[in-house]
Amino acid sequence: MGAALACSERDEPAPARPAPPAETGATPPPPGGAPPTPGAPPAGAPTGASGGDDVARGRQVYLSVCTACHNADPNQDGSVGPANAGASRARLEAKILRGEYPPGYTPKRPSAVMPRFENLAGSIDDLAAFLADAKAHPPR
Amino acid sequence: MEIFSMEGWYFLLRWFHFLAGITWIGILYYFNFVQTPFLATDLGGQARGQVTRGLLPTAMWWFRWGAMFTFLTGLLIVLTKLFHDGVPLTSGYMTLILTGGLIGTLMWYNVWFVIWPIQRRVIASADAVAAGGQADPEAAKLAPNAGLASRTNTMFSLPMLFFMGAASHFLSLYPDPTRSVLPYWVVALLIIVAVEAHLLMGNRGLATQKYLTAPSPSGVIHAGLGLALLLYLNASFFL
Repeated sequence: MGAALACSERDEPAPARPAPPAETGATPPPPGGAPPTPGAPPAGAPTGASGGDDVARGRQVYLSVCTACHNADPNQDGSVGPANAGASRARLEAKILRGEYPPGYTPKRPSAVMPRFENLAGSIDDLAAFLADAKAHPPR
Repeated sequence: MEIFSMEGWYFLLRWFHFLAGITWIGILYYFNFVQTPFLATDLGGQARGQVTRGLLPTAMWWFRWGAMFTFLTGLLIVLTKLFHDGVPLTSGYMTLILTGGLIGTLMWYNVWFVIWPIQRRVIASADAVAAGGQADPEAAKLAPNAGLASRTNTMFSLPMLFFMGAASHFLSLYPDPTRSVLPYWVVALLIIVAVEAHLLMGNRGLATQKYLTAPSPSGVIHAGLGLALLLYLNASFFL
């Protein structure tokens, strides 16, 4: 894909949605643990075990669509797109649906190669939940 | 030095993947669209020895090593994506790129294990004749098998590029994240394996399709477009 060189790794305030319940069984993989298993959510990906259904749905969409360019672990840079853990709902909505950045947001690399994904309009909240969870509970 | 980064690694691999792929498929199309129709003409018939001895060895060298480097760089890209970036096999990118990758891998196999072993014999036979020796009778018998493999690769190249390009540039084709990609793969594998089996069985004397082996490439171009359409419909329906 030519996607998101766009989103920056810049830290952002936590998204407006309530934070997922903390530490309810979040089990980060052991450092240097087993190599990722293709087909299964890889070891590098956050387990999301601490989140609810929205986190699980967001992870499903993220792994299916976003990993074409972004790392399966949103805390790390991917093949084309940079790390995006903790991306706010406003940023996701602007970038995914309109190909823009929210007002006042300065992208680190304004390459604008990330296409719009209007078909993900119904998944913005889930993606925001997953990316917030990934930032709160990085895999190591 | 931006090139010393994961992004740079991916970019270098992709650059060489494209360069080697252009080299490979460019010569494949030269063989199929230019040289084969020429050799079927009267003038081409007279020039067959010169073409085989003068052009074919060099063309085959760039052809087969182009195939090898295309294959290896593509494999490295996919392995890096899978094991460094953790991209799941069931993701949209992997589903589409591996459809193209499976076709490309069969094409690489056909170059190295069908076409080249036959062509090196054809070249050796032509060299022997030019030196006043005997032609290798097996070489003449095997040559149509290399031709069918070359035509099959030309046909394969259309859906191969469709799916490789779609993985990055036709994202609407990505699977619905809530559905299994298994039915898609079952049908895609059946179609792709059937085309390869047609080639390998054809080379064991079973009937092959005339539109693939005629000197004019129009049949193989239409077959390639049809195969791409068939595989696209499968993706559109099941993903």
